[in-house]
Amino acid sequence: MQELISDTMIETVVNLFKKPLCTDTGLIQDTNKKEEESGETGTALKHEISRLFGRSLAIREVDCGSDNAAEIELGNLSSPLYDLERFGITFVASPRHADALMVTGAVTLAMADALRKTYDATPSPKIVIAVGDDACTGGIWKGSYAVLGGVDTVIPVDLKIPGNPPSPDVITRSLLTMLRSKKDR
Amino acid sequence: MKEDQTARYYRIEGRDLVHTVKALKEEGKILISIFGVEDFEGEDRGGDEGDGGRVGDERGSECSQLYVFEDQGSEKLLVLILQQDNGLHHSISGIFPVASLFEREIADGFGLSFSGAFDTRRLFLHEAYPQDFHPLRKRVQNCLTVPERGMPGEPYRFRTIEGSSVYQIPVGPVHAGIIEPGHFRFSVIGETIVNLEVRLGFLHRGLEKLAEGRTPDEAVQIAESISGDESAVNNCGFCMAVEQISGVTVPPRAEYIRGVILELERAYSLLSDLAGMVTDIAHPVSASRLTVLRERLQREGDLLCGSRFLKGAICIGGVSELITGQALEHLFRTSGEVEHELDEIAEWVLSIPSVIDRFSTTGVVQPELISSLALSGPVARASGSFADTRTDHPYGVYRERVPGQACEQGGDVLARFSLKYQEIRASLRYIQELLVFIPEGPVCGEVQVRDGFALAAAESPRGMALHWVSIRDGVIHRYKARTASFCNWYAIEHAVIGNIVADFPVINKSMNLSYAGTDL
Repeated sequence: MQELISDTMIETVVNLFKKPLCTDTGLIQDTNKKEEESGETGTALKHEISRLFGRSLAIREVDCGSDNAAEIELGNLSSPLYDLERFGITFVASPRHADALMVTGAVTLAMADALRKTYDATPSPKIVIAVGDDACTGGIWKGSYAVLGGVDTVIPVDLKIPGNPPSPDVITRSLLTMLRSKKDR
Repeated sequence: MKEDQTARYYRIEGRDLVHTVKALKEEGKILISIFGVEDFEGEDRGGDEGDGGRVGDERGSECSQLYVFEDQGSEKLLVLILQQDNGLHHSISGIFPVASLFEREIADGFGLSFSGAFDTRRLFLHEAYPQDFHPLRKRVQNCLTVPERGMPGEPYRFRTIEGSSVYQIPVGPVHAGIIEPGHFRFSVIGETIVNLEVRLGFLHRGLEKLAEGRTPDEAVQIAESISGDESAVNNCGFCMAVEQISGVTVPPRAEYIRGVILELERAYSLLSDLAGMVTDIAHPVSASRLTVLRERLQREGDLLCGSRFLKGAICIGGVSELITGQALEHLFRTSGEVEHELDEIAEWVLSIPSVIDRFSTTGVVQPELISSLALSGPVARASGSFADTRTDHPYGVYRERVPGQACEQGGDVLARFSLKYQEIRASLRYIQELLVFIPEGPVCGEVQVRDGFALAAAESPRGMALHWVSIRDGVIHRYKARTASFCNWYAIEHAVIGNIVADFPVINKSMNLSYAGTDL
């Protein structure tokens, strides 16, 4: 208990009763390191996207049985701290506008048809990325009456990003690795 | 029949059910769950009571139904046990409309039918499942049920609204945004919604069946995966039930850390609701700032236990040993800073006329719906209810320290926005309070799993989560989770009526319910 109540803590408690004093710079200080990281990866990502897709990579997300944590992380990619759009990655509203599908969750029986239709609606050539342990292998849902298994039991998968769920940084870096391995058109 | 820390159990006969439920309603009690349990307490095996001893019957052993009621004046929940598998069951959906959902769930899972029910369509089993498939029956083996070609289930019949100029808008299961799958069927005249039907079940993963036969330790991961942004609270609810069965005492320090974890989860989950609401009315500047705050809190989770969703932070008997005092101190500072920043953003957002114009009087949830649909959490509290599991049925650290309470009267999107803002603020303050007073000591108690059953209730960011666990021979015999989303979803069907289609996204976001947590 003694070690926990430090001077900084007392100071913060005192500050609680003062007028809030917060600036945007204070925020960025704390998150500086990670942002730089994703910045470097991002620049490389932009380079690969220009090489392969001309300007941008359009991604459609499909949830087929995820517990929504992976959705939140994919949503975070568009948040100001990661802001993948500046590197040429956009999440689009229709599979018909997409170059790639990002699929999360072990595919449930009720979603299998919807996933196949989404895949068929995506113009070729297309990339399929399985995001999260469940999407990669079926994860903890293996053996359930309601789950077909990983995404690759339903449609062909190009990249698997494991994690429960993978963090935005991991997703960004995995994308980069995959794009680097693709040859020029 | 039995009384434990969280509930009183009573047996009831089938013929007494309807008038007992009516009497309970008159006393002001609210039905919050019904679920089935096959071979309850193993009494069928003995065969010394009533219809017992029918093991070996081709229908399998008996299915009991447990009716769970909440009594506003009591900390304990009331559970009626109806042990009757033969003949017809009486539906109580005429008394408590929410019962319709529970009864449909039981009909899918166990194949029971209810007389007098106003809706007998399947709920979580879609067309892909054969019509006579009832997965929760013990005789059904848990293996993939790819339906044989030619015998699919009956097609689902949506409610039909007829009349000149009524048209329908089907949406989903694959939506335009990065969200979970579900189907919305709007009936619209001009721009005004006259009816909405929500059809879920796309994320049904067979969670309850999957938990059966596993040891409680193995099932922790399953409980955590009910809904990603409610991992900690569902895990906590499950652990509390197992701890109660096994008579485990959670050390005080662990209770405090659990409190911190649960409130951290509440704060970041509700922050994304606020961000979602302002995004849907085209105010991305404030949304960006709110998502930054959320990201900061998620990183605190990563720092605490290595998971941005607090997975693995809570275990049976206490909390993970990975959580250090240093990380807690870091969280203390961050929660203070986030609180100040949030105040500034909320004050600003709520002073913009166009925001108020979109939020106010949009998507009103009438207070009458609260008891008939068993609404809980922010959805209920924004419509004048004070219900909060943390204070009504206190558990863990909430027994010692009362968390900050909030209530709004409007029932519209504005009320839910203000309420959620106040709740995040209260959570951040509560975290700081806990961290000032946190005792030293061990973080995990001795666990020796015993057989038995118990019910646990916990307040998730979306409302009351119920976890009922029955352990037999050291493994889980039945696990039933009822999340707040399961009931709250149907509030949307009522809230959107009379609103324009363009306001649906913001109404939906203002409740931000979990699809996965409903489908299980």
